[in-house]
Amino acid sequence: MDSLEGMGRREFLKSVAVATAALGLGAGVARAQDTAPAAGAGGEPLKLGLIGCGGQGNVLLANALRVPDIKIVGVCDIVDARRDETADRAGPDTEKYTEWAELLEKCPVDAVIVATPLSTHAGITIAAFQAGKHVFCEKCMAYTIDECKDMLRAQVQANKVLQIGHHLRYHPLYVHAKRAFIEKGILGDITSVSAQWNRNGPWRREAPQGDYSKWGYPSPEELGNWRLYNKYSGGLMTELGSHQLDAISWMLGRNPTAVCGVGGIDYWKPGSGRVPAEDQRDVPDNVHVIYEYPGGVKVDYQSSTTNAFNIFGTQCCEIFRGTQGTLVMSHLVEGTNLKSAGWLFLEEGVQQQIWMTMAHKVDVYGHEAIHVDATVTEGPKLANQPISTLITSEGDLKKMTYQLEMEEFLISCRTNSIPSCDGMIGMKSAADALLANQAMSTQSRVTFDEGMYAL
Amino acid sequence: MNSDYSAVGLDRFRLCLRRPAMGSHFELVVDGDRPAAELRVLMDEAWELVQHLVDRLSAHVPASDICFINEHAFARPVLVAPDLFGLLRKAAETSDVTGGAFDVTIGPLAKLWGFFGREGRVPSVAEIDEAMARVGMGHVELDPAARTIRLHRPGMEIDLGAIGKGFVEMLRRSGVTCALAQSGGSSIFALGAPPDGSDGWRVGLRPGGAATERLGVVELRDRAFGTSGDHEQHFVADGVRYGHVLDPRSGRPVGHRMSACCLGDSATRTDALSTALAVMGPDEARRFCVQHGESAVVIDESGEGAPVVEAIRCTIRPVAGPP
Repeated sequence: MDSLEGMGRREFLKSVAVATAALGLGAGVARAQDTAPAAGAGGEPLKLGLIGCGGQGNVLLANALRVPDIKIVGVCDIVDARRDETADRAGPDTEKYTEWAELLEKCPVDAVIVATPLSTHAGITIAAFQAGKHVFCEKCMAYTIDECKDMLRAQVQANKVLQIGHHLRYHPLYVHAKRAFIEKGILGDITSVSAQWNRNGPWRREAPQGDYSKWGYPSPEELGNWRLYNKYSGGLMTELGSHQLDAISWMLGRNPTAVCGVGGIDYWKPGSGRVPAEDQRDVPDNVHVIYEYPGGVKVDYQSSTTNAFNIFGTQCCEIFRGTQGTLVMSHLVEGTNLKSAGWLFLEEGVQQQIWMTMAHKVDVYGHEAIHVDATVTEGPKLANQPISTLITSEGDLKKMTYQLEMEEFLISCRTNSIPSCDGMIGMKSAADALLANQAMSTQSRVTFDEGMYAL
Repeated sequence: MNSDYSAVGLDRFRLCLRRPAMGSHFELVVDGDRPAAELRVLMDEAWELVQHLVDRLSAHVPASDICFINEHAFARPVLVAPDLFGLLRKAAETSDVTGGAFDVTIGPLAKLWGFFGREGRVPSVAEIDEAMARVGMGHVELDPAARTIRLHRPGMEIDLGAIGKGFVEMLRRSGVTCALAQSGGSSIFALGAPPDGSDGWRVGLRPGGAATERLGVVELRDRAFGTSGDHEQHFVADGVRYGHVLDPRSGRPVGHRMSACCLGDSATRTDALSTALAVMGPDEARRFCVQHGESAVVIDESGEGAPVVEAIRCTIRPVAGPP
C-alpha cells in the first residue's frame, strides 16, 4: 500500500465513508450512465450549480453538460456578462446569481462546482457543506493548509462529497502510464523526475469592466488577473505546478518530504514597460524548485514565462527517470488528438520486452521512443481488465479528463462515496505548491511533516 | 488554387505566427500599431481562441463537441453551446439556399470515396446509396428553443471542415485592428489594411495543380475570403480522374475542374459558399452569384488551355511585385 493510503487518510476516510460502506459501494464502481440512483434520489438528475464562470468554470460546465444525468440548474459570478454568457451556455432556464450565498440558499442544487479565485475556495466550500451540498472544488484546493483542514472538517460534519479537480488523475494516458509502466517496474528504480510548464508571455487575462470593490477586488485588474497577486493566488506553483506535482506524487505513490527553491519576478516586472501600467503583480514569473521524496527520489520542477521551448514540442511535461528507462509524459501537446502524449526510452543495453518490439515507435534525435498509448501498447487488456473503474472501454479513452471527473463526481454524490481525488489528496497536493512558495520566499529548505495534515 | 500574402510595409513592426490546426495550419500576420509586448499578448490570445475553437469544432479531435454530437445525437437530443448552434444554423441555411450543394453531413460519402484517409477508391452503387441514406441536412433537427441538435439517421456525421475554418474571423474579438489571418489556405480574414497605405491586404489567386503563377490579386480590407476547389487532390481509377470535390446531391465527385473564391463580411459564410460554388460548377455558380448578389471569382480549369477567370461583383488586379 502506498503512502497516500497511510493511516491518517484511512482514518479520515472511515469517518466519511459510513454511508458508502452501508451501500456496499466504492467510488467509481458503477458508471455514470448505468448507476442506479441512491435511495432518495428518485432517478432525478444531479442538480448542479456552478460558482465561478471564468475559463476553468466553463471547461467544467461544458464537460458536465456531456454527462446525461447531470443538470446545471444555476450559475453564479460577480461579473454579469460572464455569468449571463455562461448561463446561456448551460441551457434555457438556468438560474443566474451574483452572490454565491444566494445560490446556495435559493437555487435547488444538490451539489456545486467551485471554480473561483484560490483565496475564495475555502469560504465557499465550507458554506456549501453547511448548506448540505456536495462540492467539486477546483485545484489548488485552498490558499493555506489550515483552510484545507477547515474544508475537510466541514465536509465530515456535513457527510457530503468533496472532490478536488486534479484532472490528470483521470487522464486515460496517465492512468495507463502509471499502471502499465511505472507500477510494473518497466522504468526500473525511479530516482529522479524533472517537470516543467514553461510559457512565453506575461500570463495576463483581459480584465472585466465594472466595480468589484465590494467583493474585495479594489480594481478590475486584480479580479481579472487574480493569479498575479499573492493575496488571491499562489502564483505559478498553485495554478500550474500543483497539477503536475499532484500527478507526480500519485504516479510515484508517495508524497514529498522536503522542498527548496528559488523564484523571482525577473522579466514581467511592474513598471518595466513590458506589462501595462495597471499590472502590479507580486507573484514570481520564474520558479525553480526541488523536492525530496522518500526513497531518495528527487523531483525538480520549473515554470517560467519567458521561454516556451521544449525538445518534446510541448510547453509542459514530466520526465520520469529510472534505472531501466525514461518516461516522458505531457498533457499539452499541440497537434495530437487528445493533446497528450507519452514516450518511453529504454536505457542502453536494456532488453525490450516482446510487446515493445511490436509497439509503435518514433525516432527522437536518434533515440528510439516507444509511443505510450493506452489503445495499442501492452498493458491491461481493455476487454478483460479495465484501465480504471472509470475507463472501461475504448470509447472512454476519447473522453476529456474533465468529463471523467464529472462522471465520477456524479457517482460519488449519488452513492455518497469517496472520489479518487478527494480532499485529503487535495490537501497534500496543495501542500506541495504552498510549501514550495514558502521555501522560495524564506529562501530555506522546508520539510513536510505528516502531522501537519492532522485534522 | 492557393493564396498568399504580399509582404508589404516591413518597416513597421510585424509579427507572424504559423501553427498546425484542424488538419491543416493557421497563420496570422499582425501589423504593429502598438508596442511589441501588447501585440504579442493579442496574438497569443488570438491563438488561444483558435485552439479552443479547434478543440470544440474539429471532427478530428475525439473529445470535440462535434464528435460528441456525432456519437450521441441519434440517441437523444444534445444541448449545443450558443456559438456552435449558430454555426450549425448557418450550415443549415447555406445548405438550404444552395439547394444542397453545401452539406456538413457529407462525412460518410467522403469516407466511402476514401477522401478522409486520402486513399481514393470507386465504391459500388449500393454502397453510395447506403452512404447517401446517412447524408442530408434534412435528417438534422435543430431546435432553437431548447438549443439542441438531433440526428435522425444512425451513423450520420457532422463535419464542419468546410465552414469551421471561418473561425479566423474570431480575430475580430482579439482586439487586433490590423491583421491577416488564414486557416488551411482556404479561409482568409483581413482586418483593416496594411500600414503601407495600400487599399487592402493583397491575396494572390493561383490556379490548381502544379502551377505557381498567380492569375491576379484581390485586395481585402475588413473582408473575408474563402476558396475551394479541385486542387491537386484526386485519384485515377480505370483511366478516370476523380477529384476530391464531392457533390452531396449525387453522392459522386463533380465532373468539372474549377476553383471558386467567395468574398464577404463573414468568413464562415465565404468558407461555406465557396465550397458550394465549387460543387455547382462554373455555370451554376455564376447563376447563383448573380441571383443572390454574391461576390466571387470563378476559375474554370476544365478546358485544355489556360484557366478562365471570371470576377463576379469584385475586382481582380494585376499581379505586381515579387510572387
